[in-house]
Amino acid sequence: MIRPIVKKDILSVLKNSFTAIKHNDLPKLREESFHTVHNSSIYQDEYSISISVVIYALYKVLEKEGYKEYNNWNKFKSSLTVELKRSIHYLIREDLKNYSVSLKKIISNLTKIDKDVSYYINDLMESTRVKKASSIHKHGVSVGKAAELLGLTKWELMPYSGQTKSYDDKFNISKTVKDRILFVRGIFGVK
Amino acid sequence: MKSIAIDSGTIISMVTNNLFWVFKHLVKQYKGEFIISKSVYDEIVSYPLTTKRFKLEAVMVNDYILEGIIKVEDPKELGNLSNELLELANDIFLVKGEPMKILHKAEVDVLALAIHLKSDALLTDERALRLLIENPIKLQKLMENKLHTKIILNKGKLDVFQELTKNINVIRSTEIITIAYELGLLNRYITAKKIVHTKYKKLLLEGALWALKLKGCSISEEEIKEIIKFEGFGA
Repeated sequence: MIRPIVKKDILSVLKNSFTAIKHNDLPKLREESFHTVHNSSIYQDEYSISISVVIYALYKVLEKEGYKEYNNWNKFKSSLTVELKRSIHYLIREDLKNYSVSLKKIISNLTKIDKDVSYYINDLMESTRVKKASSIHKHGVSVGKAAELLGLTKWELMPYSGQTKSYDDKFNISKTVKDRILFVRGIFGVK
Repeated sequence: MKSIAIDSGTIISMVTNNLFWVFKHLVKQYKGEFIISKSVYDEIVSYPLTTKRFKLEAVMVNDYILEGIIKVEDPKELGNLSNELLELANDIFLVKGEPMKILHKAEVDVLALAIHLKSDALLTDERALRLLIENPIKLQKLMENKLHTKIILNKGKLDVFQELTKNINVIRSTEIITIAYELGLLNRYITAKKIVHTKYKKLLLEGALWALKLKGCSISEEEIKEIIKFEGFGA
């Protein structure tokens, strides 16, 4: 089952990403990868989460000019077009099994561009998951929950989130510094 | 026996900054127990021991557990309370008609442990858990602000959650390190040639607080500045 709102938003992301790739509009592709973050935070469904990871990973690969020199690049670009069209087709029909297979093929085809790219893809997929989990956390979900949704641990997510501006938000402060320190002094018997 | 219940995030912030050793001294100062739940133990020891990346940190934490500085508690009666808290916490905020799940089971387990043991404090660096206990309206506003959507509060569920957590006092790793600083424990970093170089004390405290923030403690830059000021240093 997929929620109608989630289906509508993913279809929009897929269609816009397809056009962005066709016109080599990378800023637009990057923007699309953030469109399902709200749904990922609210519904926490695998479809909203996986599309944001796949589109962001695609953006990161396509922005690397050097990769276009590899022999298999054109083959990859053709397969990407095919799989994006397929994923739209399957999603419209709510054939979620084949939709997911198409998304997975996009990532596995990335690793076939070249051995060098393949090494990079593993790191890229991990850093993309960390980035997306941090976005979900920024929207109010705990680190533990956000990490779980992206198949990560707190060990991986906390240092990344700590380096964002997430905790500098005015809503982050729930007690005064003075109250907190006086309380801790009290329990530790510090005068 | 009095106790402080510790969440996994705090242990991660401390150990990844090589500041975990302060617990050895603080447990004596406190004259009580530092406690973690079984699920926190799994997050910070059992699982990372199976990986390459955080194995060393897990070994270091495990040594503190073997030493008895940190104790693992897994009372049987905790299950029901933990499940109730998890269900309540994840049903409090309704977005577009659906409850938004904000907390993870392990985070709620340690909260349940703190309630069960009537702990003096819950030591957690997790923002959602802290705000939900101390000021759920701020969490609601934060979510509305980020999601650009109206968030409906389930008042009934919130009331029950607040009743269960009314005696919980939340502290973070940054407060712990401030106390360690006040006790002079951090002076070891500014004692070249066996002299405490007091002119570096402000930098020492500032550095420790920023290190914890950058490893994931949910403290703002503004709060760090306030702590520095509260400890007697100018801006």
